[in-house]
Amino acid sequence: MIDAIVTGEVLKAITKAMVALVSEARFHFLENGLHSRAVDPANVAMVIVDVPTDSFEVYKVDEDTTIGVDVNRIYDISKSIKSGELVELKVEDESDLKIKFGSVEYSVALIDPSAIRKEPKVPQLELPAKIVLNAGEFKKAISAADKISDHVVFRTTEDGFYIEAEGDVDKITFFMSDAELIEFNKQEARSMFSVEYLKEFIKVAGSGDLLTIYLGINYPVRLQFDVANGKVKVEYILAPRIEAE
Amino acid sequence: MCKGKLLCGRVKCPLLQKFEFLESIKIDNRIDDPTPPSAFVGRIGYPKVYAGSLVALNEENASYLDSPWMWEGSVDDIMRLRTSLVRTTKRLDVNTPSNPDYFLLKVQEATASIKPIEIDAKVVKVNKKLLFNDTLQPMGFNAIVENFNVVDNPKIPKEVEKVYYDDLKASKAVLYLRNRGFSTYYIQKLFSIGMFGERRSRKLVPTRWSITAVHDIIGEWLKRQITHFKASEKYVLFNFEHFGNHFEVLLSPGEYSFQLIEIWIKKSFWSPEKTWIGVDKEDLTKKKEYSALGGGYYAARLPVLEYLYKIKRKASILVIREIKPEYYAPLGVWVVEEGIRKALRREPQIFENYDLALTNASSRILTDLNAWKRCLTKVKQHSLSSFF
Repeated sequence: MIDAIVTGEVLKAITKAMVALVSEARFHFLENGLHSRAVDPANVAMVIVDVPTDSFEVYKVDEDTTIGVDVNRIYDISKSIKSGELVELKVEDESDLKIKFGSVEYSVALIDPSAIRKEPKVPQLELPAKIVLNAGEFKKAISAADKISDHVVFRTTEDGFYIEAEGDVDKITFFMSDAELIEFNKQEARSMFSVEYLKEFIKVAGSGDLLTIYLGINYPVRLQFDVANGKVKVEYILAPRIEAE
Repeated sequence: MCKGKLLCGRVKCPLLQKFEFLESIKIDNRIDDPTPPSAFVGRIGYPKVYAGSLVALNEENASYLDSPWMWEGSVDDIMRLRTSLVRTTKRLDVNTPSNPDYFLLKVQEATASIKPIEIDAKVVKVNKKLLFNDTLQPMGFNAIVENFNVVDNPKIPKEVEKVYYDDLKASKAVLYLRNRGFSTYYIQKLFSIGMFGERRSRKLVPTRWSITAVHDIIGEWLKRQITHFKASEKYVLFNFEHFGNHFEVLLSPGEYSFQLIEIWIKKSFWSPEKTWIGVDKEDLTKKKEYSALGGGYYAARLPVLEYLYKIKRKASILVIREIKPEYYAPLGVWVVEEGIRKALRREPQIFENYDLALTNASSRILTDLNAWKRCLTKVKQHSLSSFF
């Protein structure tokens, strides 16, 4: 049995983060909060969502419980809830999830968790460069790159962080110096990524949110977003595009 | 490229002239002949299209007329074979399958049959126009009919009944039948004639669209499956040629990717003036935009994915298709699908590296390697599982 109350903003952030990659997911209601993760069907990217108990207004879970949800449905519902409005999430039996806000109550059928694609383990990755910046700046860079190319290069030198995209006739360079970045460990790294994925990821973040990037050399990148006023942690891990010799 | 739009400046398409002998084909005002079985759904006039069964005027071995995997010989042979099939059609709204009338029910029954079946119909009007294009198999005249009926009891597989009566979603239905051994050709016919999907949203799908839709649905599904397999270890090269279409299939170690290079040699049908080279490619992510190379792209991808799924390997795939002048009329994308299937059934050559394999492949390609090598791309999307 699950009974939790959150703001509309939190529910929306959780589901929006997941729908970037999958349409169904397992939600684990654990002692220390809500956890969910999934990989996309192409096995190119992973999403990990964590919401600690103190991000909930009320969080009552009898024992660790896993439910299978159609995240598209819940994301759709969450769009009609105002940011600050309180939403009650209730699971009494295994068959459905009740979503109550104002005078509305939705009842959404749950999916048998075992019918949802197996969850990946969260990998241990050794990534040399760490960059912290305003997610809004990152969003701007990715949207600009999307207009000219299907892939971007993320690159760090001692000086700062570069995002570069090259089209048939044009080129875009986004640069933030060490001084402009919130945090930067000055390690060098370089990898190339698909814009198709990145532009889905950035939808979750607002302009004031914090983004931490861990970057390697021809290696997957970790993008950690703190969204909904820091109440929800969303991490994406994306495999690179690599040029063969 | 022209692809039959008379861009050559001629007043009349040379193909139509070549097949003028067909004018002599006589169609009585009563059809009393078997269907292989095979069906046709037109595209002209969408959403009101001509649809119906193909009927063999030459009754001997009717099923051979709709079995592309068995066909050999010249372009002429296939043209003669296929144009002996008459389209017996009626004009239908594409939504008819959501509430089928008697005609469509009978066409569906006949199409789902696994053996040739006798059709009885009254011919109202004959349109003496052949149908051929890059995607579908050539077809003969169009006879508009009335009082269409199936004479025998059709034999319909129980799997098809399940898909039909359980209202399986169209893409699920395709995969369900595929995984139970039904051929892409059989699945395409049922897809086209509106037997898949939830009843109230069932539609007729023009034959040429259904061919690519089925190739794409199965191809995308197989892509997802093979990502979990080990990579092939060597550079494996296959080749095959039929109907003036030469195929080289190179499987390289690494993450899944697919590239097709299409070379239309000068004087081949679509490219009379100069040699035309086109390329399209994809990696692990779902292919979203329709390929610039048309239905042949999906027809080339599918058999290679089937092969990799069977041997439980993933690979980076390069297919080179060179089209020679003797392919003077388009026969449909089955030429690609079967050509590559046949290539993959032959004994491959194994190489230690990519360049050796590519050089070997180029020795059988008439067009100079330098003309098409620049089209090859080397950047590839990797999957997470290749890192941990």
